[in-house]
Amino acid sequence: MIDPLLPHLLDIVSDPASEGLILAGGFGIRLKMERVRTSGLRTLITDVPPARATRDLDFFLSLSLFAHKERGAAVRDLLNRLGYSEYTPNYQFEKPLDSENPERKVRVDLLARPPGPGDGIRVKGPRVKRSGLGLHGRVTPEAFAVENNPTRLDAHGARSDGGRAEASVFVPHPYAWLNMKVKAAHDWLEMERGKIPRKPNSERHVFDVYVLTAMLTEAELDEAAEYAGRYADHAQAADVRRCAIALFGSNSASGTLEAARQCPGRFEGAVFDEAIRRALGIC
Amino acid sequence: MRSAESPTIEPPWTEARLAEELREGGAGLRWIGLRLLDSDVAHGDAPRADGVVEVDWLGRSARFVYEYRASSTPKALETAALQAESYARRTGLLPLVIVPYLSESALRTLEADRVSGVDLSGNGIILAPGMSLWRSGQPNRFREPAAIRNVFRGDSSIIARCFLLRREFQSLTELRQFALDRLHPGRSARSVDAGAVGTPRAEPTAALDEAAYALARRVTVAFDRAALTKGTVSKVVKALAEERIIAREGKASRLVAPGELMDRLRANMPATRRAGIRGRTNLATSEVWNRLGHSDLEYVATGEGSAAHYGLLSGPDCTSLYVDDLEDACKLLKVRPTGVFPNIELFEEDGHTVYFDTRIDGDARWASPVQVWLELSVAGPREREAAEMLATELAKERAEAQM
Repeated sequence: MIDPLLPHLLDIVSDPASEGLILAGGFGIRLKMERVRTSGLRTLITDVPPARATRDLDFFLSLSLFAHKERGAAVRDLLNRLGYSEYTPNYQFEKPLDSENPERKVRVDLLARPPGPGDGIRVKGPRVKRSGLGLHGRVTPEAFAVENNPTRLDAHGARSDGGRAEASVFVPHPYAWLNMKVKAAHDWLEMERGKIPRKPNSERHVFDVYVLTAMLTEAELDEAAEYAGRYADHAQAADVRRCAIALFGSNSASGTLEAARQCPGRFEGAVFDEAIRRALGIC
Repeated sequence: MRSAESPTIEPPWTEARLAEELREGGAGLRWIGLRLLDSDVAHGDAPRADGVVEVDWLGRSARFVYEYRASSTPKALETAALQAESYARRTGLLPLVIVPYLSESALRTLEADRVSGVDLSGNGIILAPGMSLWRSGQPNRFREPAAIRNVFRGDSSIIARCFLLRREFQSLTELRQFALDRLHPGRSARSVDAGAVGTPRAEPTAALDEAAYALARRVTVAFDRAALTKGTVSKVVKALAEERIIAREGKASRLVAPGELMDRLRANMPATRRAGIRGRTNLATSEVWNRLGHSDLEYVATGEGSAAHYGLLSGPDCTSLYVDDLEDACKLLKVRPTGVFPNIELFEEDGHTVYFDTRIDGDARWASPVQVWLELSVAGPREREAAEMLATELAKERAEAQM
């Protein structure tokens, strides 16, 4: 895989301090697609459209990084050592993508699932935090399942210092990922309807929902259906199901049409519809 | 209006039509500027040549005596060339053949025999002192005779397929029996096993049952024999010989161009399968075979679905079957239609072709290696590679079978 972001990912995930980071976002999807391409795994839809390019590394912080302060501090220390500067204090960091193009930045965004009552972790405003740690995660309610059974992927190649890295990285289980992406895609729908201010490139989330669904293996779909049953009464899961119906509930629904528009000639509507319903537990 | 890329497909011309077109500079012959000097030419008591033409090319000219054939088969071309050479020897003119279509290989054959030839589609080779012209690549504007086309399609193709399994047959009777023996081996196995065809399979316990079974068996055999009459076998063998795919020596027939035969079978494969369904069943594969084996359905794994059985590809994600009754098969196998990770696909085929030379393994029925080769050879790159391997194996088996 050749991607200018890969060396920066390897810088992070080849360091032991990265334990407890889960890579989501566009680059996580690219890595997963690479795994599908090279492994020959049977996926729901064979003709998976290529993943979009990105310059962001979106990491979910395991809540254990807040519970065990020294581990959270090691993550912050790692970012400092790699030369990242704060873009937004304690949860968005950036540095030049490469020395020849200092104006092009790679950005690391830190996120976290909402803590439960028993986790003993504080949420203040949009942030999950622990005082004195210097590491915050933007709280993401729809990521309630992100720490459940994440998928381990191999990542190898050259680090930014030229050294070879053979590492692994965790990405969310498709059930958790679909919940997050459906919610983000629903924000796009709300923008289209003029209910919230527009953000550029929001339609990409609709594409991501389709791609994540297309890349499902049979085992992943079965597991997702099991999670959907387990979270059937969860308020966020119910909200995501409602969002999914609004987006993809019929052939003429806005999300369905947008997904088809972004996958010209290879959109498999009926299969996508049946699978996403099963994965999210929509009756 | 038709575009240049999609030429008119028309029946071959008659001799009279050719003469008329030559006089008027007909479509496929314009490139060479053939001029008709005489038609239906007599020379002593010898057979009459079809005509004499002149070719003018860059200030040079040459005269040819020509023989026309409305068929472009290798045999037709060969006899036309021999005839034209015979006229040429008697008349002192140069030999020329005219046929509806000359492929690259036909042009090369004519070149090797030093006989000129032009077709009605715009291809040709002209060989004369100080003149050597070659034109190829124009598509065939003429329809293959139906008799030839049909040899490679449907039930008739079974005879052609026999030659891929065994290179030589001593007589048409032997060839026909070879085909009949392999027409529905699954059904025959079941009949031997259970006494006859029936649903569900049951041992005949009463005289009435036995009579019904015997009648069903006789009807089945009659149905099979009707598909491959002696006349059909004879026509197919004649057409294959005409195409120089087999050679006939007395009553015997021997495959001489296996590559050509395979190409023709592949080119005449139906572009799409008949009605089908993809879905899921909760039955294990062994139970699928078991249920089919105990039903009166005709069934066999598709060629692609049999590839793993022959060790050509890894095991399929999906059991893929031909059945003669889609609705009954869906009920029997409890198939729920879905595109989400289907584990079974069924295609309705009530003819004989896909069931020919079925290989039996308990209740499982695997497609003939020929059917496997055909399906793989028109699929993806990995499958086509597997088809190449299988073609080599088939050739080895044919050679061994004759030893």
